[in-house]
Amino acid sequence: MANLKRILLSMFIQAVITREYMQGFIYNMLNGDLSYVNTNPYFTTMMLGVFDISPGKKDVYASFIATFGDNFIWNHLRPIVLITALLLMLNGLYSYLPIPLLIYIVIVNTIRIYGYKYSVVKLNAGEIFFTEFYWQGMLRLMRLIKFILLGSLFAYVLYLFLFYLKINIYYVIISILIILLYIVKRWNVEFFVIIMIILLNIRIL
Amino acid sequence: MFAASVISIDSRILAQHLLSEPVFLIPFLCIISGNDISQFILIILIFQIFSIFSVQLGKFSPPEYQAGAVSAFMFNALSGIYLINAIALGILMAYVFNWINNFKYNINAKIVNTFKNSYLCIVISCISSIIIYMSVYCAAYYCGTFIMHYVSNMNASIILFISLPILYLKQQNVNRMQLLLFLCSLIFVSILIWLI
Repeated sequence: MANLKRILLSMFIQAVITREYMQGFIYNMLNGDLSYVNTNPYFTTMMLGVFDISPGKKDVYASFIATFGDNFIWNHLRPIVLITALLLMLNGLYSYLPIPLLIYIVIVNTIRIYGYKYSVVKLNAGEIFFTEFYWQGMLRLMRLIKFILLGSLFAYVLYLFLFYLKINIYYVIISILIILLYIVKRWNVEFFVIIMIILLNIRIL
Repeated sequence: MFAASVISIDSRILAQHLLSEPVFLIPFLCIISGNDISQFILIILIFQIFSIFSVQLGKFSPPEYQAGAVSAFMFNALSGIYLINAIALGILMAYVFNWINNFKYNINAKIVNTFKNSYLCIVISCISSIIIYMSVYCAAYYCGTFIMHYVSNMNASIILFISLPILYLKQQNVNRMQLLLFLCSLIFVSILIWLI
């Protein structure tokens, strides 16, 4: 029952997010300690285990979980799920679209359900988090899949530009080179894409 | 439009853990509105590429591209704005929704300080975010149709030319005086062009 309450409240972790406490308000509801907490929202139950076992080290564990969690969710899981869904849609396989969505929901909610137990066991044993093979192996596998999928998506975008929109090959090559320059130099990509859209718009009209 | 507003209410807060991405959202909206999905693939593609790149580039707070994609879909499907202009307006809306997210932070601080009951705080915060997001979507929809009513006879790329300086200013982090100077010069030159 306590676990169910934890899981349900962790869904609303960013509902009352403020600059003063960030996500600390929900942790206050479960543990009665109103303080500044900013960590990955998907690993909330794991953070609650830290609150219960060693509240003195919560800042250290919050930053640790945030570093791993952001890398895991934002950098690997979500791009994989989104690019898979995009590639399915580009191929017209709309009926297979729930598959990436289900994978995403299952992984995220498995972390949410077993996170508290995991952190309690690890803290009682005095071990470091995320050192197991399944975390590290999954991260390595997801990294591989992400790059393969990104390459496929890039090829599809090229295909769209060349055959669907019937744009000159030199124009496409120059655009890709400029996009790569923007990415390498860390300039604003949207700004360039807006310029590209304007050029496209003038061509179409 | 109301379905779009309700489904994408504050994707960072409630629906984040289930259905927050336009990849899953827009097919569902297409079924509701009875549109063909193939013409919206470009919208989804562009916004997802933005979303992925902004994560890869490690931006501190990327604009809300989910909301941007849904508004681009709305502009195209309901207001009948030309697809590429709808995408450009959607990018602008993504920046607008980032400001609204910041506004939501300030409202949350007021709610936390005012109400003592924690569960009441969550309920009020969720209801306020629903009202804010829906009103912004409604305003965007009516503004979009209003703009297109006057702009439809002109060259359609005018919206993009308007959006360019705004994005440029966003990139440059200008102060208020520089912004005022920029706007004055913009108005002055446009009046000159209109007179000539």
